[in-house]
Amino acid sequence: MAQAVATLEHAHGAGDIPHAADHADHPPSSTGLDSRKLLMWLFLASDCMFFGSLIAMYMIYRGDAERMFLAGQGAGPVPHEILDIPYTSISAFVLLMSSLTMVLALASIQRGNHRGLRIWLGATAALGLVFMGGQFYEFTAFYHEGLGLTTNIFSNSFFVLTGFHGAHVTIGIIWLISLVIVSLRGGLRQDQAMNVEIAGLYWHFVDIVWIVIFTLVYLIPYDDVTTITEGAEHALRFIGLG
Amino acid sequence: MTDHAMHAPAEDHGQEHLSDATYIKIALLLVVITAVEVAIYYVDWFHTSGTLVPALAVLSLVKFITVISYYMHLKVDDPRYRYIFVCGLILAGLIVAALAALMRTHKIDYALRFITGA
Amino acid sequence: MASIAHQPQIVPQPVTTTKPATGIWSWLTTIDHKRIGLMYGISAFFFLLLGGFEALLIRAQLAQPENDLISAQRYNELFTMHGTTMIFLALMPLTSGFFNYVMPLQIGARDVAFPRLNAFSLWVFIFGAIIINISWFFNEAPNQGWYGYAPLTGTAWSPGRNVDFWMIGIQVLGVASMAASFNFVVTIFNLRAPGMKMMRLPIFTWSTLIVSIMIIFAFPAITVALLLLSFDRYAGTGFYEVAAGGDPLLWQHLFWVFGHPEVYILILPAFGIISEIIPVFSRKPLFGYSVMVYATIAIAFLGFGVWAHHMFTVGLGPTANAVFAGATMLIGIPTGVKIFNWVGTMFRGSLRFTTAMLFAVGLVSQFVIGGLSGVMHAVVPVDAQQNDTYFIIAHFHYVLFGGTVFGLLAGIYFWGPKAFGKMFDERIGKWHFWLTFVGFNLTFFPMHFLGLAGMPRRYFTYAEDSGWGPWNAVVSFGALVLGFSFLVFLYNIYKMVRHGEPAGDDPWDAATLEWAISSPPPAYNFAVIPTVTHRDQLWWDKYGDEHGHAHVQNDDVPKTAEIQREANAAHPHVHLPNPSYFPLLAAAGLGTFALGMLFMNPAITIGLLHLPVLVIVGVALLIFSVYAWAFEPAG
Repeated sequence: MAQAVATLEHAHGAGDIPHAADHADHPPSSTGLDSRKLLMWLFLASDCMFFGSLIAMYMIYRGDAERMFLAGQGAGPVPHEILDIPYTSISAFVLLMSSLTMVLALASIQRGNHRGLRIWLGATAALGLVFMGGQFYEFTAFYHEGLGLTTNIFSNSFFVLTGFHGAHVTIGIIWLISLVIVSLRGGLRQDQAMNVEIAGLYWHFVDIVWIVIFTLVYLIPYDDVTTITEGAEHALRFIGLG
Repeated sequence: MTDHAMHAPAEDHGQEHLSDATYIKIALLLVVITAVEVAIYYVDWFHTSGTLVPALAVLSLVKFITVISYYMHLKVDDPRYRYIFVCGLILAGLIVAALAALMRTHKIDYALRFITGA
Repeated sequence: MASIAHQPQIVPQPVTTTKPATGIWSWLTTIDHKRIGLMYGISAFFFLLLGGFEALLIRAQLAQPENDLISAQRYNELFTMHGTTMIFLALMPLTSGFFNYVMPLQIGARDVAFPRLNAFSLWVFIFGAIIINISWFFNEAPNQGWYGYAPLTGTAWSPGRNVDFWMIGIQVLGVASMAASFNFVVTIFNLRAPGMKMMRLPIFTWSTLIVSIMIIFAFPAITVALLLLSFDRYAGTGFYEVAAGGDPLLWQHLFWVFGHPEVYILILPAFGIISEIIPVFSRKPLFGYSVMVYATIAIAFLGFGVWAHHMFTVGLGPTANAVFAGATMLIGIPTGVKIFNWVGTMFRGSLRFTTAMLFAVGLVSQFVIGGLSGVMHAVVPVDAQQNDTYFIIAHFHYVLFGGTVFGLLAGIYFWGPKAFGKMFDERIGKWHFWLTFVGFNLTFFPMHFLGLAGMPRRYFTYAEDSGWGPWNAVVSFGALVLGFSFLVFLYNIYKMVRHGEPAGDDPWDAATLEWAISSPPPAYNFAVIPTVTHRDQLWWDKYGDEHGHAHVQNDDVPKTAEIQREANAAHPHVHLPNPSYFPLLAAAGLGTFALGMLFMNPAITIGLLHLPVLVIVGVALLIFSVYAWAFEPAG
């Protein structure tokens, strides 16, 4: 929650100095760097730690549900039974394409092409909505197949990791739509392209997080994880007893 | 440390010197890599030879770096943004790796005690 | 880090006009970093007294064996709230108060980079503090220890809302700390006065920068740890539940990935404060400035790689223990470098033992004791004996009280005259220092003996025949002395505010930019943005070198202080950003949302979703104020 709120804050609250911005969108600074863009990069660096912690959690519990299942103790569906790789590949494709439309939106406003800006921003938001629709459908389908949030340690970690990614995407969509509305009301001039650039940085970050999640959660197989006994043998060898 | 001091620009232009065509080519590349990732998942050889996980790791790393370099402009933008982000990324990466390793030995340790009856 | 030594070229400043407004509304809507700093300081000082009061109750209970003054349950609440209050509600916000007040002045800026975000941080902190503390009124104060180890925090063992108040309160405070830190980093990078290169920054500003970067990277870990705990407690997941396939050890890791950097987040600001004070009262520039900067960076970096030394008794295995023990000992090196630098600064200086200097020197001596006991339990087998005993309590109070609190008190005596325009009574100040010093050592030194004698922490009482009675009586007496010293301090503050001598612009003959302007500073800080040509600029102005004691007067260079005085006399028309109530409103939205998570009824239920009314109101308020804020003209 902290992250989500912080994101919103930075998204919209980041422009305190900028009424200098009525004249130039890039207030000069000691470093020559735009303060708001610097803020966004710092936030993204920090968000690496946020998703890093979540991903560490996922990696730690990854495969545990499968092992419990093999040991006959597990409850509910386990990853290899339920994850749908072709379906999620399409989601991943959609999100990658949204990164393209985002960067085209930025290129448009930098050229002063306001119509292009709105079209590409709208397309980005729409692709984001498709992605979220996909996630919603996926979650619902899992739920109907018996995998709820609390079913097993796989479902705990899966829903929380992908859910927080989804929350980031949702905030991004709201931000993009806000930008479209501002642009329609004439509030986004060519020299204010930084507003789009910062939103874009956030959006691309959400995309790269999905690149990691897609590989870690969906593609790396669960069935050839080392079994506990094998791991124990490794450990014995590691400490010089095997 | 002072290399950039001299050219500190008064304004940050975001330095996008890339054309729309480049962006589209990069998107194609990303799509192709994703397709390859999914495709090799369905090739048995990758599973049996143990090359699947390293291959997937490399491919997604390439995607990751491509997006931050070109779409987030880190390749052409002011290098100081790059330092900030890469610092966070490396720190997060090291901590994720350490956590995963520490928790894994912990779990194995438990299993070991279970097996040896200690 | 390589990126930050840049030639500052042009300095952006919030520009527009204003007279200092008065009245409560002006304080609620202020975006002036000085007022925000003062509000941080005053509220954090209140919590320092509250946390101290909790400590006194703890000591009253432990003053004699088998005491039954306080019940075991209440005792659990007291030590949990003492730790939580001191760390999150007293020390961190006090340092934040100093960051806010002093740092922009030191870099020659008119405010921070995002003044409204700054106000937001303050109000979020205040709401978070209130949320944690209202638990007392529901008789559900957190009682699980300040680091809330799983599985004790699970619903099975903590069915009440005690843990919830703590969990949600800390989460809210995390938002405040993160928002403030982003702001400080951008401010230090971007709002430096012309000529203020990175390697000319005052060391306190360097500390602000490094600490803010540490907060940015450390807080996400506890954010995630608390989120997972929230899911366990609210949604029935099993991240920390062994029976559900989870692992309580994950909490310990995530908590200490945050928790150990947090220790440095608490101590580095104090190091920064005394690195300003010791040179001024030695009349010598800081010995080894650049080494000091690199040592701070090294401490920050290593601080992220030592968290598992809090977990040596978990049984991580010899490899992990050895790695973390080694890394922990490494931190002793840059820390030792700092100690030598302070001593080197004082060496052959013309020392003036003002109260601020006494506290600063007190820090150097007392922190060394805490640092040495810290290196002791970096040794794994030694730690196994000392773990969870009073030895640990002694260690970290030497670091956090003998270090951080001494540093903060030194800072109050040093910058108080700047903020209030009046001098403290030095005679009472010296009484205050010696009472604190004696009381502190009486309280915490015997804890080493108690710890080595095996007295465990967190026990609400102990047996008659344990033999711990006499030292505990001494400790409790020391705590009373310490408590009394704070009364003396309060009296001294009162006396300063009512009858203090006027301070003048530069009462200490100091070296940094904040002393070039009036005390208290005008709302716009600098009538003209100063130009910096040297480290320790004011000493250069005054003495023609950076050494404070040269006899050469160089009259041919423009003096920063004179320029400011002249520009001020000309009644400058400096344009300041307008006050705004949206930061307060946004913080209130966040606070209401958090309260909704604690007070689940009345609520609206949609399918599986149970939406408390307060949550809905809070989110609506937050969204409204964030949009209003984004579209509010700041000019």
